[in-house]
Amino acid sequence: MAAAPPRRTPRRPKPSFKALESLYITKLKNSGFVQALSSDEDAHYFSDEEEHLDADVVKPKLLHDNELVAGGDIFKFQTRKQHDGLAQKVAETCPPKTPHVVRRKTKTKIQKLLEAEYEDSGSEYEISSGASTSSSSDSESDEVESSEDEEPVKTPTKTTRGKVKFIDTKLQPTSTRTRSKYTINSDEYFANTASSKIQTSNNTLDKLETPRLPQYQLQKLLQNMKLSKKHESAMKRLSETNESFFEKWLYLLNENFNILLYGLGSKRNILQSFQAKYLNSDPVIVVNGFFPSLSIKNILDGILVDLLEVQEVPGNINEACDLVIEEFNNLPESHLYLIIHNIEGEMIRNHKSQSILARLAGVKNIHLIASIDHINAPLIWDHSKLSKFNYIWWDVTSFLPYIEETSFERSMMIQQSGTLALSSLKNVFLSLTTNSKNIYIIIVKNQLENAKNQYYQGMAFKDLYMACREAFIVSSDLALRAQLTEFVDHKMVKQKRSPDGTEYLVVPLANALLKKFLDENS
Amino acid sequence: MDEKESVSVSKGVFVFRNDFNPPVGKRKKKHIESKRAENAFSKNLWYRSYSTLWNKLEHEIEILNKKIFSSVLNDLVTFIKTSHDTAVEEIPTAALLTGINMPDHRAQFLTLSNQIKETVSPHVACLYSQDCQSIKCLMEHMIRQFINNEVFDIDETEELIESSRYQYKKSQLSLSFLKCWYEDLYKEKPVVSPKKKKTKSIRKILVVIIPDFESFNAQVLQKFILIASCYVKVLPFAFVFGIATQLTTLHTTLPYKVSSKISIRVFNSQPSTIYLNHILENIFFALDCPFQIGGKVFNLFTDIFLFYDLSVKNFLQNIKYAMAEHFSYGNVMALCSYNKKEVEQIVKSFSHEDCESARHLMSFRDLVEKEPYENQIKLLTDDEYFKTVLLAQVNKVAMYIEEFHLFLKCLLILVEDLPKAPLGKNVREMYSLAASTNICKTPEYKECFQLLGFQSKEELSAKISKIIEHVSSYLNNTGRSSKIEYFVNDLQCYLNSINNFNMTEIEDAVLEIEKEDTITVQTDRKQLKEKLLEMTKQATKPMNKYEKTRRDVIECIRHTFGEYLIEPRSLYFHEIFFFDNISIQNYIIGSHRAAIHNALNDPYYYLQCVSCCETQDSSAIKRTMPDICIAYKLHLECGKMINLYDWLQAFLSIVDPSDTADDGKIRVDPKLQARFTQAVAELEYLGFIKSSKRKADHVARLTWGG
Repeated sequence: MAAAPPRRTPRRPKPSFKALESLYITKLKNSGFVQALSSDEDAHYFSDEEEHLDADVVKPKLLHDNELVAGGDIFKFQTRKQHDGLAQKVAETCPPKTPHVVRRKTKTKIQKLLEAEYEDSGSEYEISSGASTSSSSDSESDEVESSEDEEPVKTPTKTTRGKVKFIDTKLQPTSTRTRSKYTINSDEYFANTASSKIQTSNNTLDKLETPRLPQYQLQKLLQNMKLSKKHESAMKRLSETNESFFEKWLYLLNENFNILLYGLGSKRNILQSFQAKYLNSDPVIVVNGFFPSLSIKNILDGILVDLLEVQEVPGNINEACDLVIEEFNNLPESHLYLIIHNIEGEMIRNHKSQSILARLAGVKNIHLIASIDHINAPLIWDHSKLSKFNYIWWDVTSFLPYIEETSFERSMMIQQSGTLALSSLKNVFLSLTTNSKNIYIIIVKNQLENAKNQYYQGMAFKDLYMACREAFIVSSDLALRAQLTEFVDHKMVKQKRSPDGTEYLVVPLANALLKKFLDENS
Repeated sequence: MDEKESVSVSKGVFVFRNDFNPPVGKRKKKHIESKRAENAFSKNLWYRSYSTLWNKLEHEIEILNKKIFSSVLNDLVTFIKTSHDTAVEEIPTAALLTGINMPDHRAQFLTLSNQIKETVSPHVACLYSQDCQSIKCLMEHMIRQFINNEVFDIDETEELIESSRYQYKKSQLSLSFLKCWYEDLYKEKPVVSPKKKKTKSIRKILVVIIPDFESFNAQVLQKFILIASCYVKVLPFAFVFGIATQLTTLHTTLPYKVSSKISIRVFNSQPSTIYLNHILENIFFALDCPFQIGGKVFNLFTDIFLFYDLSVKNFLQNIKYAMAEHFSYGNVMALCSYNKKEVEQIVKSFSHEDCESARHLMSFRDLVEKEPYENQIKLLTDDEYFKTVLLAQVNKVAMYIEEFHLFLKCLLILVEDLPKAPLGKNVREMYSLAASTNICKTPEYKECFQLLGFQSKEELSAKISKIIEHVSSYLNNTGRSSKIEYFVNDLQCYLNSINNFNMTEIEDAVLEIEKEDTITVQTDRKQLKEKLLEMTKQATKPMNKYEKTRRDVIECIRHTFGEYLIEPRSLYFHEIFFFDNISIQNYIIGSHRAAIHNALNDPYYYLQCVSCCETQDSSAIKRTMPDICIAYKLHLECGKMINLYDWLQAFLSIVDPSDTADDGKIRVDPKLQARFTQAVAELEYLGFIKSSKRKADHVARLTWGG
């Protein structure tokens, strides 16, 4: 079966008839003899197809007619962003006739961004230490006076570096980007997702004098913040309009609908004033969905134990829910109002909790008023849950700051103060025996002594043992280990094993806090 | 007591008792139903008429539900009834294909289990996936339901139920326990009521209903079937599976060793569109529901139904909301009733404010404009005069609605089987058209009547007789003699004449005519040509008798329809009966994402502060905008990752252009930094960004819109 290997000919494959035709047409067009020629067949083919599609697909008549924003505006593919987009935006916002300072400043910024990019192309993942940009910041002052025109000159140098970029450094207002028809630009998508490199500058917050604000200071500053008069009155107006619907809400709740509030801005205030004004005579349960250690069991227990005073609460949440439903079916005269701030909160967004809430909301005399903030929050409900919830959606955009809600978040911009950690440490510490206290203080002291040491791994176990023996705290290795287990259990100490087998003990707290702790306890 | 506080770092649930006292000790087992909870609104006139109407409709829907499901359920029930007549090796199983309208199923399965309890066997267990995470839970639930049901049947006294309900410990509930109980029940002949004695000879079937087959854990289900099949000789099990998607899921979830233990029969339930049509035709388009949904809103509801969830339950809830919204306009809406006496009384009781609110209805304006000047003044100022006008108009609209539905139905009879059905095949399609425009002026309507002009004699006469039947049954019900009666009489005449035509006669006549025309003498080519030309010039073939009558009857029908099928908007005070406020869309579907998008991109839309937030271009930034908007708009300019430092700098130079300090360690006004920090935290909270560890001080973008 010696089949001859396929012969590879250097000949180019013969183009198809279709291709020949189009080639011919383009030639004709280019030669200028014919103005416009199109393959009839083609046109027919496409128009037929389109008609066919239109005829067959039944489209919603007016479902999408009066939407606030077209879906294409909200949901887009990632598009390539210019690296100095931020600076451009700033330049655009500040009017051209701004004082010299402003222009200088933005220009500096553009400069900085561009320069940072240079560095970036060399080392993508290197975390900049902050010092790397010092040289560039020196040169900034020199180049400040340079005009805008020089920027396009920069582009060629970049392309020579072999990176495909389209940098359009003309300071052209982005307002020309009109809303075009929504088309999927697949090439751009792949160009964007293909490289996983991060193309941003290496600046870090450490360049600032106060890189991060501590939580308490932030709160104090925000409290003193005054909005402009106009905004204040506008927001007041918004709240007043929202509050004018309270009676309607009550009416709808009584008709077994549940109310879901959405829109930008904190909804705590409006829910609180609703509760204060209209729900004074009925039992109310308020749930903070954003609370980081909330569970669905807490809510059920709140109803069963605190409200209904049931003696035996079933452990299984489904059974507990059954019990609540049964109890309320037996009490048709009383109405329970369930206010849930952020029903999509981290801890109760799972399927199980939501189906329990849906079942509760379905009960005739349990009324639910909930709010959502996360942009993808509605995705947590499927059809059957939504139908049980039976929501009426209410836009209560208020522009109020999310102060309570974000206070539990761990933002990158906030210095982790750890006052909570410190107070819990104190509490545990107070319940220790004198010996254990002394052991702990030895570890803390050791850690503080080595605060300057960059490579400090922790206190070695044998060092600790020796120190403890010298202070007559423990007599045996085993006794010390028993003490340490207690520390580890309370997360007061972390155990680490180095590659050479030595055991190290570290207190997982910032040194400043430890110092404070030591001052108070020794 | 600081009871109002609802923020704490140690707990997330706060209970406000507000003088609520939990029931002490003895609990009322069966509450008195008649006492409907009085609420703050029941004083209002509109609320009373709303709640009576809705309760009536709800009741009717319930009755209808039973009827609709009955055909499928009867088959199913007979299947279960006969399943254990002969000794079985495999567990008889009914697979009920229910369709994806999950929210509706609960009602369906509830009726099923009630029907089985009534006719086949009292032993029914309904197992939902949420209760059956493991085989242990499943068994407990099933057995408890079997045993507790039985307790209900034996003795109705309340104390017994109370005591026996939790008599068994959870750990006791096993299949062997069920077996003992079952044998006890049927073999040892307990001395109870005579009713029991009759049944004990026949061992009743244990029916297990699983309404949501797909959401069950496959492992649990497999184990359950295997275990149950071991007991099938002693315990006559029968299963009913509710399958929402396709039958293949049954085969994919159950491997051969399991599926061989059950013998499956498939039942198809009606698609939910038919269910919806039933409900609409029998309840909302019926003659006793005064509340009408306007064309736009109706289209919206059907769109939601057809493109979102196919759920009739949700559709009904939407209507309920529309009704609640409609009636809450005020006491004027209480006039939405067919009861003439009641309407009269209500109008009499109207206060000045009620009259004023009626005057605010849009169609009242048209009414005023048509009147002569003296009447205009009278209408606007004289409440008594206004009341009489209002009463007359309301009665007119009520009358119109009845006739509207009557003739809509007639139109449906006429056009539903036309080729391609230009006006649609369902009443709802036609209703949505007729309620929003004058249907008689639409091109679809004209096309339909053109097509009707080609109908054969049999088809046409069948349709006409159907129409006559429908209209006269309406006339008999209402006992009104009116123009409609003449219409029926006319139709009857036409029908008789059509039926009297002998088709062969007509054809003969046609032939005769044709014979006259046929070219008899063919002389030469030129003559023939002239002859042919002459023939083409002759307008059309003269119509035969049938065709003439057909033309006449269609003309008559068209004329009558044109009179009655006018658009509701052309009537005064139609707002009292028709609800057509499309703005309820946002309350039903909700546009959460769009609202946030709008607030961030164009804060002016909400804040309405002209000088500080209004912009032509939605991407432009003004320094007076709220902080979060500025931060958001800046973040739109970034790629996948955002450098916090650069972001902060950009933010600062927008918010405070005068800040110039840029030397060495850069000082930032802590106030501004706090504002920025808060804005970033809020964006993170909303889900636009998240912190990232890939690079120091960077956050990742999560959305691409803007």
